[in-house]
Amino acid sequence: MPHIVKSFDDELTRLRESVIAMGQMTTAQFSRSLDCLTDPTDEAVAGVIALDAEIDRLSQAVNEQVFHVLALRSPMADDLRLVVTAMHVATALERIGGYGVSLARNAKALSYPPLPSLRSVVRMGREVTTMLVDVLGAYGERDAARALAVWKADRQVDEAYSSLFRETITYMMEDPQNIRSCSHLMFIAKDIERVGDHATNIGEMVYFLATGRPLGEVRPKGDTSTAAGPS
Amino acid sequence: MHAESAVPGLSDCARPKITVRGVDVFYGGKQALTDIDLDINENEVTALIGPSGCGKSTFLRCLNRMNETIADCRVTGRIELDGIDVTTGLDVVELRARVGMVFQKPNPFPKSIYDNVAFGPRILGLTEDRHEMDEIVVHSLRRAGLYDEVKDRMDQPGTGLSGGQQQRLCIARAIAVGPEVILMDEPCSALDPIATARIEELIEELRSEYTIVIVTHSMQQAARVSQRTAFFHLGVLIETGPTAAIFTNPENPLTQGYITGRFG
Repeated sequence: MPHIVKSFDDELTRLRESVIAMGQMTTAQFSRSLDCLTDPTDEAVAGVIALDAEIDRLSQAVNEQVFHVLALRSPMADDLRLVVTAMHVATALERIGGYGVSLARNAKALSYPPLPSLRSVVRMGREVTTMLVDVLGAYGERDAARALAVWKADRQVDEAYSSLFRETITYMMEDPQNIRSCSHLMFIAKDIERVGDHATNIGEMVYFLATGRPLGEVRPKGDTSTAAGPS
Repeated sequence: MHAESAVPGLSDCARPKITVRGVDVFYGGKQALTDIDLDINENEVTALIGPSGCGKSTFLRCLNRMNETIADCRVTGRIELDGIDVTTGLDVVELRARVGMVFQKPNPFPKSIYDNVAFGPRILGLTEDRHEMDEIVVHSLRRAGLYDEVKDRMDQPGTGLSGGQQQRLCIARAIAVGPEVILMDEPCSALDPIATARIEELIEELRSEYTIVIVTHSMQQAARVSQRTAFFHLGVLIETGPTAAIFTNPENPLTQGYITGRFG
């Protein structure tokens, strides 16, 4: 049902569209940062960095719109959830943009020919990209079920990260020459895992936006790298 | 329903001061309220919201039998104050001393500030002498946050005060007879934002001693001052709950539509 004051509807629509546009740009940037893993040219890395600046600009624009609506419209109920969620989602996307840059920069430090683990890292990255696409789709549609599916999918990413951690340690033990490249690969994997966490956080926000209730239960964590690592 | 004890501002051991069960109100042949059930908790502010004509003021006026002053108004059902039926168990004068009222437009009597506040205690014979009356007047004006502004001109007419001061004078007048419940029918709608803020602050202060029921058209005011909100629509109580829950996640689509400005 539309609002009696049409300009309020217009502002909420604009805000939602800004977040969606920011989400599309962040997904594209993250995907291009994954491309850097297999083809880390200066140009590709510079492209990722340029997109990050654009993401930051959009994040700023979303925040300004949020303040405007809060100050002038005093939104209530689902409108209030939409506005507050927009701010949180924009912050999460802005962080993902930062991880994209970090990932692309680390890609430059990987050895050639690549370690076999790189394939697992790229696969993990693609899984996280799917999570991002899904969670942003859920945001656009206010689809709680889809958001919940993303929330649950993060467990697989965590498990993949733990298994990669063990695999990489094996390579390091086999040949100390691998340590430098393996370390960078682990940084990259960690960045991807964090992007998965942010996608999951967005899923939680979408669930709250759609239902008005927080996702109460504790998310199943599949990351056992801390336990597997040296104490 | 929501977990009420987890909501800040709501007392964990809220006790119903007024219980309303199955109340219908008719103006002649027209039904204004239908089958209202509501508990009004002690030491809480309950806000009644809803579009014009939804019955919220009618409901408020049932609580101290003000509807009896309207010739063809008929109220059925049960309204209890501390478990006593307000219609059969209480004399109307006693009821209105225990359940005071503040109206939309400040309506001081054309008397001095002092006499406005002293009026109720005087006709109810609450005091023995002038000294006791002075104490009641000063205490009531202090509670209403007005004393410092009027202490040097108690003999001046109440109608000479500003709108916000007049409304606080009316609150002092209501307090003077020692009520347990204060009903407020849009008490700030004729006031500027500063005077409104003063009244809202006063409502928060008064809550520790009194049970307050406020009708307001301002959603933000309901959100700011109340612990519990009841939403009326076309004479039906649609939803009631902790104010924070009503304004962040109402359960009924009608409530949602109204508070977000999609109809009304």
